[in-house]
Amino acid sequence: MPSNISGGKKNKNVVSGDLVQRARDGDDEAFGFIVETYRDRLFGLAVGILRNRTAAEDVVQEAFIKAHKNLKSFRGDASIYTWLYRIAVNTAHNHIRRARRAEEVDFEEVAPIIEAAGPNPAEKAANAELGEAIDGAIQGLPPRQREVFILHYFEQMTHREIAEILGVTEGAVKANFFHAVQKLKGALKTYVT
Amino acid sequence: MENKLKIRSCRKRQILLGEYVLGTIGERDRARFERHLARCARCRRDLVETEKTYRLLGNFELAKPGPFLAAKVARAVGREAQAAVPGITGERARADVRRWLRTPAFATVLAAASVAVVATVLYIKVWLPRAPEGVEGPAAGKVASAAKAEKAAEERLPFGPRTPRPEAVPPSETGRPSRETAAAEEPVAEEEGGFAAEAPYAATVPAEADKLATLEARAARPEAAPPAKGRRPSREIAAAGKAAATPPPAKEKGRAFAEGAYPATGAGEPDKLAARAPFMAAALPRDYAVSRGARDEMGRYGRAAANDVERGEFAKAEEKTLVAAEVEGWMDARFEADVERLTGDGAALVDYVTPNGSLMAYFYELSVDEQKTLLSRLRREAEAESAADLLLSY
Repeated sequence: MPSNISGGKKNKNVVSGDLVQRARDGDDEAFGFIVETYRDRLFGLAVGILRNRTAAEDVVQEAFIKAHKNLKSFRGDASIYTWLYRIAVNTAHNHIRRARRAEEVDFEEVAPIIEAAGPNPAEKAANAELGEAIDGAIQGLPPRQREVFILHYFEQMTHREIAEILGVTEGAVKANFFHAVQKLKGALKTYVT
Repeated sequence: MENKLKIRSCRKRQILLGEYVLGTIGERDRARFERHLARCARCRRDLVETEKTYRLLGNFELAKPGPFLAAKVARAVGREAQAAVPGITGERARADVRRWLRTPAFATVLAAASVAVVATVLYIKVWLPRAPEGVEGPAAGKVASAAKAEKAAEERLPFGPRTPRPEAVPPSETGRPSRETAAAEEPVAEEEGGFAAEAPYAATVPAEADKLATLEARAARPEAAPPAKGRRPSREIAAAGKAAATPPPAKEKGRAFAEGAYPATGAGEPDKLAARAPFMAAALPRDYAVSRGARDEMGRYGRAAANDVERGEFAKAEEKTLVAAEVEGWMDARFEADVERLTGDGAALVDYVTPNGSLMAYFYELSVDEQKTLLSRLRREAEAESAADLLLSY
């Protein structure tokens, strides 16, 4: 069996049920902890969807406002992170729709979706070219495939969770992920030796 | 045919490839996939390629936000929570009033009120002068009650012309009214809805720095005389009330969140702002009122208007809605004046910022140098979108 090869070994469910309950009861410190835990990850997802850092920050902000407002209605049937991701994805989709309607946001400014991992600057610099190629390949994926790929590869979500977040079937998630991987393999062929 | 079936079978298995490499595949699927791998060279090749691709990707992670997102989220959530009242927001209140203004019920009420006013005026102006002089008893009573009715009707008119009251003249023309006069002018609290109990706005724009001492002193006296009924509340008091660096009341949950949930979220309260010296220290309370207090006030007026609508007090609701609009206009004017003072070119720059209240708030939370740099960059880059980006990048 192959070793796990993924962008980030993330512990998704670091927020305990007790903490969520405290946040629901109006404990702002508890909600602050939830924000701290998921803020960067939601931002990564939002940049992946919107390819624009400013818009992504707006979306994260709006998503947490919505979460804070609706925390009482969160019944705990789903995990808190699934719930937050769903809010963020919906908010990002709404943002795109609004921007298209108003024709006001310049989506030509494409921000990088990924960055080199690790603290070593020399290593990061060495990976710059490869990073651009991978970023270009991910950016080139159709929106749905990109979302599924980010959620599965980088966020370590299961297909079922992704299906719940995106409101599609598990089969659709599997198919989208498969196609995304095939396209990435094609785009990065020259780097795969 | 056999070849086609094999390809289809491979395709079906390949869908599991990504999960298999990531190690997120289920036990049953893994066993099935490994059985397939054992007899399919094509899929084994594919597996090796996928692993290599994943190794490449493994050196990268999703983009990270800038250092200020934490503070922005905390502020935004705090502000929202502070402005939220169950079920009703300022915008919704205004929408309710606007909707009501379009209903037949409003037309009926307006028509009835107009008929009543016309009838009263006719009664006083036409019928009464015809009454013989020296009439006493019940007729004299009618004269007195008609005069009273006229006055009352005039006071009830939501949109009608009003005799300007001497105390409504802006202080910039008359000088600052004494504390006693101001206290006497303050409106009486409207018991229902607790509207006037909240820090209100005056009809005039605070302009001189010397007002601040008085205002702060007044704000520091929560036991001061309650506002007088029927009058628009004092805006200066709101500004000073917001400015007083007292801890927020327990009900202001949102602000408590912004302060408490995150360490060092940056400037967000008057004392923190003072440390960063935005604009000029003396003007700080006003600036704070412009940025956050004023918007809070708008929200309060909107909510109070919604309460009035629910109680059927539409004239009051309309008046409060108008006040909210007036406050908004005042904020824009104030901002323009400040930018003008900093750059000598206010009007050309404010349009980039004023349409967005939260951007205005951010501006007032910058230091003077940051404000100047921002304005000069705005002038150079002169695009509304980039203005928003610039402002939020601080």
